[in-house]
Amino acid sequence: MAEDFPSVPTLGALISEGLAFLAVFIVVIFLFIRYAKRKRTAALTLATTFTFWGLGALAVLVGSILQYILLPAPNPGVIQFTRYGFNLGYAFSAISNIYMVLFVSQIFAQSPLFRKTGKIIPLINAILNGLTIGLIIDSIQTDPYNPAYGLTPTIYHLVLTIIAFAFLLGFSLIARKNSLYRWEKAGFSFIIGSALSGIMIYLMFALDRIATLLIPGFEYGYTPFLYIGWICAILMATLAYAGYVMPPNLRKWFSETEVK
Amino acid sequence: MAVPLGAVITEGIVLVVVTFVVIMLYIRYANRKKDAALALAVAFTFWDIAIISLFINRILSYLIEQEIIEPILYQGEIIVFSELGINLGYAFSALSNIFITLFVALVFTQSPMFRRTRMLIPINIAGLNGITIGLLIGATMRGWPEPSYDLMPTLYHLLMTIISFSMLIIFTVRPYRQSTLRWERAGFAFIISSGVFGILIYLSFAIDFLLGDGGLNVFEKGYTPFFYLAYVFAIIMCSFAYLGYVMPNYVRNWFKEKDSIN
Repeated sequence: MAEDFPSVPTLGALISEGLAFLAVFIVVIFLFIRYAKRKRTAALTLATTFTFWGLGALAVLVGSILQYILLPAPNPGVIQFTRYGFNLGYAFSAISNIYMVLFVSQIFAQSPLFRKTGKIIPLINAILNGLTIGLIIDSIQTDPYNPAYGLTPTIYHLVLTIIAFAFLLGFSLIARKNSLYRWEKAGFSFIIGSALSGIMIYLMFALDRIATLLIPGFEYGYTPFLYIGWICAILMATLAYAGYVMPPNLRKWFSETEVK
Repeated sequence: MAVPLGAVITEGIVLVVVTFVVIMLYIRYANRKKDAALALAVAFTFWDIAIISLFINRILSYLIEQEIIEPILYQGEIIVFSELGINLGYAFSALSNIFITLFVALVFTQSPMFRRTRMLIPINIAGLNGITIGLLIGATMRGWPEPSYDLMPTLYHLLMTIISFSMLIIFTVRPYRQSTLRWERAGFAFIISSGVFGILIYLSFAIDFLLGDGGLNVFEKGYTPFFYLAYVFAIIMCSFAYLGYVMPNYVRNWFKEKDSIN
């Protein structure tokens, strides 16, 4: 079987990856500021979650830029930077998933599920996401020049991301239902929107990979799904900012509409 | 490489010893209903499953090699069960490491370290041991039907085992020093010894791999004396674990009698 080499990234891909990284980076800064003010463990966990996600986006961006500038030949023994970028990106995203579920367990610690199970769910989730990282390390070890960007880890990571965000979604939906104030409801709605966008990112990346590998005409890669994936990432970061940080003017606006 | 009958018998003996300890640990949990006791029983259960995987796959390999049963094929190639067993064994042992750390976190939950970090350490250890499982699944899928038994997961798992058992040893040293009763001190000493032998098991397996398959080729492929030594350490570890965690009444009374005489 012929070896699978990555294509040169398009300028559009570089720009969308850069914008997504910038959006997440801004959210990370605000989340750490929020933690510095409140000193809550859950706030630190959330900031760590987005930090790892930001590192994932950074890895993909750096890998793509290097591939774009250095144009490595598609030959065995030549380092293919985008492959490192995507593999490291998925590894960091797996760590992010671990902290996401930990965050949910900390915020909703008093829910019957977490009161009964303690920290067993985040523990099992950590094992499953660690497995993703192990698979990625194995693929890098197997071919250190052109690590495989396989469909199995991509889909496995998608499943784990759906599970992680589903926890956030489920508990946020209940909290939204129980909240009385409009700004509170809006905050939870933003968090729900952010979680849905988070799932959509990896769904789009998986579809991009499936299309590249299986659908004739998409062999070059960088299918429209990839761009939609990065747009979802920007959306996720924006909604996370509105939901978790909620700037005072936004809260004020919702509070005022409440009075009316 | 040919599977020696000695390897099959050794693993069978270890399996019996570990199963006995596991049963005793579950009886202890049934009596006390404590989360920590359950975590410990689960840790040893995963270790037991690891030995079961090794033992069954080693027997299958032995029987195929001795032409007692027909080889089992996958797309025309023979499935190498002994290598599959090793990878499965390491994967279950990685799960065992996680529950050892969880056990430490539950028992010493009031220590400054766990009061500050709560379950963060066991969760991070879970992720790190998950990497071992990922490496093993990768190696098994890549080499199938002859799963590769690589140096990196072996050494990485050794490191993870050292971390888990070191936590157990370090946290047990303090109550050992503070305890006044002889049977209590003996119990903690057994637990510490169990931790030390737990590390020695994987150190011996790593040395076995390095001297055999791992490239140094000091011994003919596989099954160096360190392989058997590792299982001797496993039996000692389980014996100390039984004495330390379960401590049968006659052992406890023996120490109490010594206390009263003094």
